[in-house]
Amino acid sequence: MTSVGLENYLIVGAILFALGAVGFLARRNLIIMVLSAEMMLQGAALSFVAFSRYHGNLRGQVFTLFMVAVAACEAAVALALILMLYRARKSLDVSLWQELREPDQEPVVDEEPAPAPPPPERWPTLTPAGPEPPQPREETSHV
Amino acid sequence: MNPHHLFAQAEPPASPADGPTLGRFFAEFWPVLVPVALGLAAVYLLLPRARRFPPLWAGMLAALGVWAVGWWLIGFLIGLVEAILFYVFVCVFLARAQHRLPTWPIPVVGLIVLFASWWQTHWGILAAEPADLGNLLWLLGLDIALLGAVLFYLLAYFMVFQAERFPSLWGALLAAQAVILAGGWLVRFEYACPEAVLFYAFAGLAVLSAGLMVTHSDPVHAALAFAMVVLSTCGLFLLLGAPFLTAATVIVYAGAIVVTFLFVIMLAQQLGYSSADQRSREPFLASLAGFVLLAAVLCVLHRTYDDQSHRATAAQLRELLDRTRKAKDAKTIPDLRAAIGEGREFFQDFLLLIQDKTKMPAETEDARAKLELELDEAERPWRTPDKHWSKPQEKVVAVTTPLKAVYAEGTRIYTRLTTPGRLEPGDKLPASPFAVSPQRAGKPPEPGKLPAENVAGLGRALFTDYLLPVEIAGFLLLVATVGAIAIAARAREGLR
Repeated sequence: MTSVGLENYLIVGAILFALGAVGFLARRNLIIMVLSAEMMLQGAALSFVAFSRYHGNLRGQVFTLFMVAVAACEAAVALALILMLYRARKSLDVSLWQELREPDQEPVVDEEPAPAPPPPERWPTLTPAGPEPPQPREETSHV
Repeated sequence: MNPHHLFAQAEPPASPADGPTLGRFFAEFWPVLVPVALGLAAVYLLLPRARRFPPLWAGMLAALGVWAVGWWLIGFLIGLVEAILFYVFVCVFLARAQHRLPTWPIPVVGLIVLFASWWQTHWGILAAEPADLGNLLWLLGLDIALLGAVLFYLLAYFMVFQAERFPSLWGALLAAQAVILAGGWLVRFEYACPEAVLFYAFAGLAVLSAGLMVTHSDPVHAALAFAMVVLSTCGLFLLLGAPFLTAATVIVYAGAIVVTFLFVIMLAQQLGYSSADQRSREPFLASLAGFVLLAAVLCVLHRTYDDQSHRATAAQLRELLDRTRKAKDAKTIPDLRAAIGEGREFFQDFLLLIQDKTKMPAETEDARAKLELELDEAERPWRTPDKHWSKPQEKVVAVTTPLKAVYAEGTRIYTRLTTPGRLEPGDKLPASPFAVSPQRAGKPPEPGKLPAENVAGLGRALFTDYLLPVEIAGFLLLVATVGAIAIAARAREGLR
């Protein structure tokens, strides 16, 4: 018989938190960065609820409820900011905003080359409508 | 004094091996460090970049990490669990790979895993256990499962991976069917309680979706994977007896936030392609930071829950409890004397151990107080000389009756001591019917306690203890609404 204890939930919460941190640090898309931050919140919330169960009171659940409310606020403001940034640069790439860095920092230069754009999509073509163009008739044998 | 043993400073375990510090650190923490390193290496390989690594390598690393976790965590279940996990890995992960991959590592790794699990179950942990009928059946079933897995590998090698494309939906369906079957099988034959099966299913889904979200280059897929993470976490909330939070999180996160994110993604990226998604910022440093963070947290958890300092106490208590068990079953005074000795040493030892607050878990205070009373009850007739009793049998009864209560309470403390972090449902907080621990499995669930009382308790707490925070949260929501409108509105641009 295997049973589940507090530490199992804490481990899952820690993994979600760390993966969210990796995503926030590594990804360039602004939206995915915000999603990663939300995932870190999820990991913390899981730990809170597990501790709530462990101590047999509802404090952790109440705290998680407030976290949900704050996460909703955060998402609203973050999306408004992202829309504003997108309007200014026409891209969601966060590295286009390097002038926000500290004045004594060097700009980050990409070592990796930009990936090749995908080949243009090829749609299936319909046969053109209209009368059939004249084609040279070949001699066929009717033997 | 720390209020809770969970946060108490653990004594560093005395290690017999006097090696260098790094070596001792690794010897203590390898079950944590190895899977974490492998998992984050997999994430590193999978992060989007201009020239992608073949996902096969990352899959191998992840499978190895899972295998290490299984070896350390699950012990004798290792064979079946490894077979299933490798099956899942083969089904989902390689089916996603759309370019041609070298196929030789698949049977090689599969056979290595199988051989390791076979060795483990026949000569490893399981072989040391007494061979009763259930064990033999288990071995038989395991062999059949392993045989099936071998056949599957061969089939996969010869048929599936030669194909150009294999829809990943089918792989996912097969994998889900395997997991459900295995879960039902484990519950049916009582190798695991339903809570454990559901926990591992939800936790695995959450971690897998989290990895997918971080590494997927398409933001729409990433947002959907995030929704999956939220839903799995909600399943875990249910297991933890938090139904209201489950509903609230599903509505707010999966219902509102993810949909809004998807909306913005479609608004902003109508072309569906941006070079920002195909490259990462410093993938190696980010993975390294994640490794340090996760390894630090998990090492602390490992040291807390695999704590050596409690084992000595537990062994001492076990020895005393064994003597108590013999004493409570005693029928004559010589039997009693054989069990607990002549004088008061037994009672004094017991009291000393129980009253040592540095060794006992803090939350067993009630049980310990009761145990002290009962010990006193048993000691008083034991100290009375034999000639004061009209019949020796009366003395035996007077001593053994409180000793039975001592044994029950002591066993409870012992269980608590040997399994820290145990989520036994408290009397005050009713848990979900799925969260029945094996100790409670036979008893009927308490009717009518869920979900009404839990939600009612939450509401009561919110409107009594936390009224001011609720008001502040409402104010925060208002401010966020105003702020979002103010930021997103196009100021002084006129109508367009």
